[in-house]
Amino acid sequence: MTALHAVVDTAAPAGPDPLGVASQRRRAFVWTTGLALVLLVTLVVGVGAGPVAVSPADSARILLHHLTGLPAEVTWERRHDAIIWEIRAPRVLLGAAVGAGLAMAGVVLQAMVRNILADPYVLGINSGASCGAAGAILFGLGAGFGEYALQGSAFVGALLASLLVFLVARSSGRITSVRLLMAGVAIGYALSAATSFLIFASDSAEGSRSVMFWLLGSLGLAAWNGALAVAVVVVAAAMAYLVLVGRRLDALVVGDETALTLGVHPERFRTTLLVLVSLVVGVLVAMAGSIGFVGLVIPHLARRLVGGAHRVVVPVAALLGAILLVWADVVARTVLAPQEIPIGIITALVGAPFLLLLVRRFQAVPS
Amino acid sequence: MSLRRPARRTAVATTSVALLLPLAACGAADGQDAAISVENCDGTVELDGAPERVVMLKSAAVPTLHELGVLDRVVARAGVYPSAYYDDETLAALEEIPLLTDRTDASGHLQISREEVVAETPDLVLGETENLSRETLSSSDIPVIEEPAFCGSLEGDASFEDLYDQVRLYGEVFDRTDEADAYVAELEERVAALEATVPADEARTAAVLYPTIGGGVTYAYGRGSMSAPLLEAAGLENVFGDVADRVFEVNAEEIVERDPDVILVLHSDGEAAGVVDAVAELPGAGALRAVESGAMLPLLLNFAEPPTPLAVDGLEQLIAFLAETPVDGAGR
Repeated sequence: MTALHAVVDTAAPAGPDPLGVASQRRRAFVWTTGLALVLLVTLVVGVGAGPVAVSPADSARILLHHLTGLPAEVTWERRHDAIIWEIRAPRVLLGAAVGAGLAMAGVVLQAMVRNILADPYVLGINSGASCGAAGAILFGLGAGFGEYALQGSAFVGALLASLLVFLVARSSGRITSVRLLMAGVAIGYALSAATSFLIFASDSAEGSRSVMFWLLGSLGLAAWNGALAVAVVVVAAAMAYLVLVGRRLDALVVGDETALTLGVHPERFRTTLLVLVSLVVGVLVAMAGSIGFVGLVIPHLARRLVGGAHRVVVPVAALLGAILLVWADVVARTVLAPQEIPIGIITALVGAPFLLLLVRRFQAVPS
Repeated sequence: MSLRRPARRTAVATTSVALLLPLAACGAADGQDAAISVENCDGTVELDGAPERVVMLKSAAVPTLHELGVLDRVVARAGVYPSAYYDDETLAALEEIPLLTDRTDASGHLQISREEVVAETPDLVLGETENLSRETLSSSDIPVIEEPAFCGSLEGDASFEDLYDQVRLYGEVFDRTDEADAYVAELEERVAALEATVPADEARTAAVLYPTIGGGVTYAYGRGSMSAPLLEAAGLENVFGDVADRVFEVNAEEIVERDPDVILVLHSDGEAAGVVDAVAELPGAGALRAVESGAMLPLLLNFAEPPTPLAVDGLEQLIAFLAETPVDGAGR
């Protein structure tokens, strides 16, 4: 199995900047700024594109009207206002949050377990969140979380799945990458089966239909509500924290012994990261269902663009994930309109070839 | 938009009730043992005679069987039979029939094992399920009759003729053709009488939706659905009348864009308020005229789908609802 640090770009050019630090910073700045601009354009295009044709001028006016109050006079149709502001705008924002969150979760998990195949989907965390959320929809679990029962249950499910995976993987002492992945796959299957059982055992055909739809992944339920605010805040806070602890993540990637010498307690830090990833994945799965490949593919792309320093990889991966998912959603809701394709199909179509390329690359490099 | 009366379709038409072979060994005397052959769901269904042991897996046929006086030939039933569909007499007769199971899967389809059905030794099964298709039951020599709308054999636009055809089909299957013809005549009269009550200036638009409570896919019904002739008979224009399909997935944007004055909200069971809320809570639904004016009629599925006599009851409910609902959005 190829270790994560094998893909970290450590090439150092000769000259006045022998370690290439200034060059890497420049590259990071250029990519981060460029991707932020691309995301901005993506958000605007994402709001303007959809199965119903609304003119770009009207789309822009409606967005500006709601964001800035200008133009004050409403010259557009009310139904177009509803389509742009009540349907598409929250949906695009949720897409960006989900893409960013899943990509960051992938970066963190790959750093935690030093394995390039780690992501919330492969490690069974998505399945745990799905199982928790299905329990909330079908059997009213998580009522203690009040109006956020779905998010709360998904978080608890994700956390329990993560803990279970890590406990099983380290039951014989050290955690190895292969053991962790196998534990993740096994627990993922078990929890998927548990979710299917919950659906089958439920008396509510309506609830079962709702869970089935949501398991396939969709941003169609996005609306301006507290749940969307929670998702955006959780993702933004997670990104801020991960950028702050970026150097500690770098140390974790190098190895536990090195991390200890750098003042990072690996087990304690991993536990903190595990709770954080569970929170992010739980909240996002509760909002958009189980979406694969984003957490697996985007971290590789981010590292290829800006190297392995996590203070840069985290925001770049977040931006790439946000851009990918907004575009995936645009395709999902337009290509077979008025029918919508589950967004997971689009991310898999994009992600699978990328993963195959990755597999071919690593065939040539001895592990 | 015009909803044309379709040309008659061959797939639904009943072909013959034929006395094929004299079954001398059985000593047939009153025609009960006459072999029956009918066309149903793009295939020919062969029966040794009018069925005496029927297992019913769907509710659609109940009113017709009751009207033809053969509901007592149903020895077992499975599925969901909402009491709102039936009058007291039919309900009492229905409750006499043992219920095998009412469990349905995520898509609302019946979950029942083949063994349970075969154990009833039926000579006819009404309705197919995913695991009990015509093919699987034919290996047990059990013929199946399905509603043509459910097996996809209805082609073109739906109409009340489809309903009458299916009543006649049951008449032939159960050797009650005279009763079936009389029932069709009665239904035709009821439809004509209801249409006569529709105001000449009725010009509202409507959509027929099937939402998912708790979030999920929303379905809309097009010209291939029995709900289309219902809307037409009530003087409404289907905003999805440009779609030939019976039923299809639709997203919130399309519904908001087409902005119907009235919405028929279909549901299979449960509380009517839940499905109305499910539509009202769709993203952007606050801008819909029907939501604003409260012009949303919850309707149990069989009152609009498939073509059965219950659709006439559905038409009655729709026209009564329109009469009580102010014409806020019409013509806007």
